[in-house]
Amino acid sequence: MAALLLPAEEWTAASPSVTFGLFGAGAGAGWVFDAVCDRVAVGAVVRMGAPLDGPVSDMVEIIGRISEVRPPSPARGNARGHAGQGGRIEIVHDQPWRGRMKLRFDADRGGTRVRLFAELDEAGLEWLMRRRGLPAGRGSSPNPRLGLLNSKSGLGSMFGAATDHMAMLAVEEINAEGGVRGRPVELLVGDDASDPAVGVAEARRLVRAGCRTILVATTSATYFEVSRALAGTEVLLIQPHMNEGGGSGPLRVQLGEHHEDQLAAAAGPLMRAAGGKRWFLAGNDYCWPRSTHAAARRILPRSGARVVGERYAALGTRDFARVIDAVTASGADIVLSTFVGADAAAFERQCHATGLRDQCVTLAPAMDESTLEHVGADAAPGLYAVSGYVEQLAAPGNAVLLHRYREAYGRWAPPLSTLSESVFEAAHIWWSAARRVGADEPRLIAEAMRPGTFQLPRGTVTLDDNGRVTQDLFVAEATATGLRPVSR
Amino acid sequence: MTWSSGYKRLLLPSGWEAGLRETGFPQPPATLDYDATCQPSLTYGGGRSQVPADLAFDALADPVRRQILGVLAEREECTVGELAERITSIGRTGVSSHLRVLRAAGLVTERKAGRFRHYSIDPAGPARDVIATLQALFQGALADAGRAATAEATATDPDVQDSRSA
Repeated sequence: MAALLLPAEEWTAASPSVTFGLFGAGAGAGWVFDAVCDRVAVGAVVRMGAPLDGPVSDMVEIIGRISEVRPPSPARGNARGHAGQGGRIEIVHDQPWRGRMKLRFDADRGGTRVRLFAELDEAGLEWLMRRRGLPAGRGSSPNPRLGLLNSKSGLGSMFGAATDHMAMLAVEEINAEGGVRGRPVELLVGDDASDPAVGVAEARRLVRAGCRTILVATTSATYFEVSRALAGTEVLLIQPHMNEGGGSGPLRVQLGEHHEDQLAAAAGPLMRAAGGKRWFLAGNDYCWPRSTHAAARRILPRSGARVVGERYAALGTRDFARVIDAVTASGADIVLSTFVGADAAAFERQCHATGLRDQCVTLAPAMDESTLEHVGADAAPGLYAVSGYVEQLAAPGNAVLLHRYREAYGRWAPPLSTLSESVFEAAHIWWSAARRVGADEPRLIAEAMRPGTFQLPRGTVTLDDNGRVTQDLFVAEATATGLRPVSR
Repeated sequence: MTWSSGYKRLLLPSGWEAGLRETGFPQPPATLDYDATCQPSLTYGGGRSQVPADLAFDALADPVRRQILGVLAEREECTVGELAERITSIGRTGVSSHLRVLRAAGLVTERKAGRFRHYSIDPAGPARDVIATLQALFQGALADAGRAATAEATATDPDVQDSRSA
């Protein structure tokens, strides 16, 4: 990884152990030391709110994992004696760019010399330049370009943290097999910052840069906004993620789990787990949660379920007290949670903290392994997901994929989930069609995709004439180590 | 400044070599310096003129100058006249003076061809801005941590000196 190294240094009169102890303590010690993590230990997920846009309260979260922790050993003898071994903390992060952050704590002049080394790679520099409103881009290229619109900042940065990696892995495999007509495919990444308007601007930028197909791995809110903005242009949009359908047209392909299928698959198992049939619908206020709740009102009663309440909270909500009070008052057995990303993590933590979890379980169709890491081990029991892929899926294709992923991105890279793995599959589905067409012609590629049957890491996925997806769905329970399929 | 190969290297104030060896980064073509007020400034390619980071910040604070950069990003190279056609909020003279600021900040370069001057984005310029911003952000975070640590230590041991007196 080609990277710039950014160093910083500070001296404090406090001892190395006092200074070290401030990390992760939430003591108002600056955005790096106030990192949010359940524990300062190797393997723990960590996020830091970097005030990248200056004094404005628009935080960008650096999301990663602690890869090394060594507390400073105490100094031996008196104050002028031998200094103890220095302390160190190392964080490997994947959002919004990939890099390492190293903290060093060394006894110095009766206090502590704290040093920080941060890495910035080329993709990170490009992302930062655009984030600060500076032009950054690549020149034209004779090669076919595949666009990826991802959420690298904002609340969506938590889900599908491995999305960039999965797209890159797929493109590497595609190019190893000869690309499209012997030309290597170039992957261009845009960040919607979890905001549909930004998503449209980024999609347009990708189109200007020569992308004729864009994988839109964001919320449905961004997908539909981009779809409207690019109507009438010869650009193929593929939505790899779970969705509510409805984006029909010759240049629109919606892969991923359909919410009606998810609800139908999960209704029975959840009511058995809860020992009750009263459902409360709670979610973020945008199109996917609203249409999923509408689908729930149609589908759940078929299994004898009764909907006892419904609430929405704006994207970016952190205090769910009012929603939780309403759920408690309703006497629900099951919450259908359609919160996404950081909101979903905060909601589940509060369900646990307030004791609501003792009363009812949660079904969260958009819960993926990346988000679950931020829910934490304590709040995990009683939380269920339903998807066509989980990292722990026992399928031969998945074993190969996991091996390749860890080999390429290391043990500390974020877990795979249906939200990131689906991007790998979407790139492969695009390529298998592009290869048959023999050209980067979006309309022909879209036609070649459906109907179609694809053997993928998650198993067999079928697209009918209208592009409706059929795949096996798994109800999975959240555990401290990820999503575990529940036996059917 | 190109990103095509290998590690980008930073020349750092003395005392950083240990850290560099430790992290396995080799030696650099860019220098990172601190002036008396600890404002970072970066020099690229060994010999380019030094531009204080805050000059780039000032240059970018103006919406018209950002607009000029946007047009240059799209068109790659423009004359003053071409820019003035696109940016209608100010006249040709205004565009010229904004271009002077952008050049001084190292964000835009000028190429003379006959009677015309062609302007384009200095590839090293915005990178310089972003890197300096990020560096300042990390430095600020450590300063906050240092202050919090001193406060914590002072609360438990009144003999600990305040870091500001060091």
